[in-house]
Amino acid sequence: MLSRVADALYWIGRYSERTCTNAHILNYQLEHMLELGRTDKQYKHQWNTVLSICGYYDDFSARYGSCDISQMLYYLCKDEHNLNALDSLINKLRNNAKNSRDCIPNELFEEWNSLYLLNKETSLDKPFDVLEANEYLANIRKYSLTSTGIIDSVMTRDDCYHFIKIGKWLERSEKTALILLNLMEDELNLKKDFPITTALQFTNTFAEYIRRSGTRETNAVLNFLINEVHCSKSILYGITKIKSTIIELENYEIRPYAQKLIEAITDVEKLLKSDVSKMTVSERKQWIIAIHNACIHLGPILSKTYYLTEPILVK
Amino acid sequence: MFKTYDSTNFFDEMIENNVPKRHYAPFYEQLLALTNEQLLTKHNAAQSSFLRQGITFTVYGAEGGTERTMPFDFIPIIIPHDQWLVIEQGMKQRIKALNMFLHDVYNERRIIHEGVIPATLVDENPYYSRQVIGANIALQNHVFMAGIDLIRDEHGTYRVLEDNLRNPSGLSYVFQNRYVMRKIYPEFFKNYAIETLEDQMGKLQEALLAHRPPNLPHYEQPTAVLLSAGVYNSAYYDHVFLAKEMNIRLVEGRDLLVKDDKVYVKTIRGLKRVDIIYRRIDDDFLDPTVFREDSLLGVAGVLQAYKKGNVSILNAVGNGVADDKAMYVYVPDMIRYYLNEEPIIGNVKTYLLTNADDLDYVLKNLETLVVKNVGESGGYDMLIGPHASEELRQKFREKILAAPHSYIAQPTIKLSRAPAFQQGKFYPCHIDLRIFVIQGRTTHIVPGGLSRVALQEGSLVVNSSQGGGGKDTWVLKEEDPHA
Repeated sequence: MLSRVADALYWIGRYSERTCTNAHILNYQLEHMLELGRTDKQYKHQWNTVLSICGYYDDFSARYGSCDISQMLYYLCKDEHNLNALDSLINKLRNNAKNSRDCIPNELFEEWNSLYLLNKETSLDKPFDVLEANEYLANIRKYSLTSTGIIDSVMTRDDCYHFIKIGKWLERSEKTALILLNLMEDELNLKKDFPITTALQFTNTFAEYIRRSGTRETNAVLNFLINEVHCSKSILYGITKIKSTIIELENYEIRPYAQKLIEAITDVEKLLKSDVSKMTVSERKQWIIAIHNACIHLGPILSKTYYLTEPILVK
Repeated sequence: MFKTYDSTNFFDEMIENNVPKRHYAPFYEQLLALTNEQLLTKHNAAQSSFLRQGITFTVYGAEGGTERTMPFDFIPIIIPHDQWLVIEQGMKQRIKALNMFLHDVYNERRIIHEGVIPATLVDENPYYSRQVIGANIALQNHVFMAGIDLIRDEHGTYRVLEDNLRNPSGLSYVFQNRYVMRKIYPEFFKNYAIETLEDQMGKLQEALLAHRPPNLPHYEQPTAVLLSAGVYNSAYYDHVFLAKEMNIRLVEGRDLLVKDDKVYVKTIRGLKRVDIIYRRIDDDFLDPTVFREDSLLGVAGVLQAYKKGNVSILNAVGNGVADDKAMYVYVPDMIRYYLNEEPIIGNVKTYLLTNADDLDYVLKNLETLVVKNVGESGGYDMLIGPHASEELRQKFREKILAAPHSYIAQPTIKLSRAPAFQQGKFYPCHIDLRIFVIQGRTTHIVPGGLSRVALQEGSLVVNSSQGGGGKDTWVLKEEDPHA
């Protein structure tokens, strides 16, 4: 497979996952926000956290400076200067799909192209309307989930499929780490239980967790989201999937060029398996920072291993 | 349904004396069974199918280019079997002569030495690539794929309007038009037996892989790629379609590199050798060490690899010398010279403005002529005399006088018309037909081709970039004599 195409597919996996998760987080946040008074101290903290997870908090504050819901929503959905805005993610997703169109099923391209067309037609102008915004976000999630279904049901399990999957798992692991990092860092400023409940909500694992576990204690939730092997949103699950996908990609024979990548993944696995119950609050924080950094560093090692190149970005 | 349809003054593909021609009768019958509302619903479904599938072309000019779909019109052009046989023979003859001409001008130049074609027309042609003179090319074939544009005059006689021997686009639309037609208008196929397109891509792949570079050992399978300029190219969908259907990698210049005069593609597991490049970028951009040095689309050193026989480049480098609008005038002479045959399908009368008598006539009769820039395509830098203002005609007079070699002129042909259904009504539109010729060890003509239609009422410009649309083209199978 061409390195450029592998790169496009890897980013398809990442952008597709990021689009779906960001749309879910915003959707959840909008509904949750209805119960909070605008003057509530929590209101600002929560939106700041969402900005950091789905966009760039510093960039937003520098350009907008206020905590206006319309502005925040516009920034996270449509602002062309925000590289993580849904608009931008969908454009990049479609552009990468175009770049690898000869390697993906027609149905998959059509799904993303339809999402692109829908997004182009949808404006989120002021005055901000919760119902419209929710419908917009729900549609994005529906398209994203359908495309995941098409990938799983239609695609041959070849190199193309593997690169999309690697992108998806890496994005998911990084995102879970990012969510935990932001919520734990702001733990003292947020209402009790809020960080841990929100982590479950943002990762869309709340119902699953409640069904499996009786306690809402922080360490138990952290274990669930970091190293529970059966939770599809846990970091360990993602990292294990990446490792098995690489091994399959290499036909179960790790050649020297892929050695460094496998070692890096194994290191992350070891890091994840640490026992959180023996850590102090400060150690726990350092641990989450280390996990987040380790996830971030896997991307460049993967790119180097398979000669991936950056796609030309849409102007 | 066609009460207000005017089929007089022009040759009409479908209607004659207010009734459909025999080969359109079953189609017409089915049409009568549909209401205007049903037709509109189907029309909208067809247009959105193209949009959803992202079958678009890019219109340059707007920032970053604007994506558009080519409007689809559901009334097909139906070609009876006997007429198609003539087209097929005519195309094979023309391509054979053009290929012989290309081989000749890059080798012995017999046709020039014998005075059939003026040397200046070749030597001063910007598309004549001296860099490839004497190159040993696969199958001695310069034209792997050609797109020959045909029109019909007021008598219904087919004539060649233009030869496209460089990067003719539109083959994907032939398939997509049929796909949409089958999906959305299945009822119209009733009572017809038409040539299928199903096996065409296999033939295309076979012809492509036949172009083994001279140095490839006979026991090795060639690896082919399609070289595209990328997602912003106006014909990118065409590139994707062809690469996918031929099962070859779709690459860009940045995916290839030349090492020791051999071409390689960059894969996730290192470099892999490439033997055949079906390029869809122009000569100028192919190799920055030889042609435009600012080109980011090409591959440095690829021409040297080509000349050494390590890689085949299709269509061959330098083909532009034969499809130039001025060279077009001499194609019938080429057919007579190389094949000793009379052209089966003739040209449109063309005035060469380097000829003093022609120039004089053209300058005096601009209001009845069409003037075209020899190096342009897509309807750019073109004057349609009868529809132009005196001011524009004067501008063209000046342009012609400043560079007579840059223009040719043709009489305004009464281009044939066919009905189109747009904005809820039927009206006659001018059409042309792009025939795709595939050449490997043998020559094959894709049955039908791309019928392009000038959807704007009265317009003569069928190019998609100028608002033209597409129609499905049916070639009827030979009628069973016992039926």
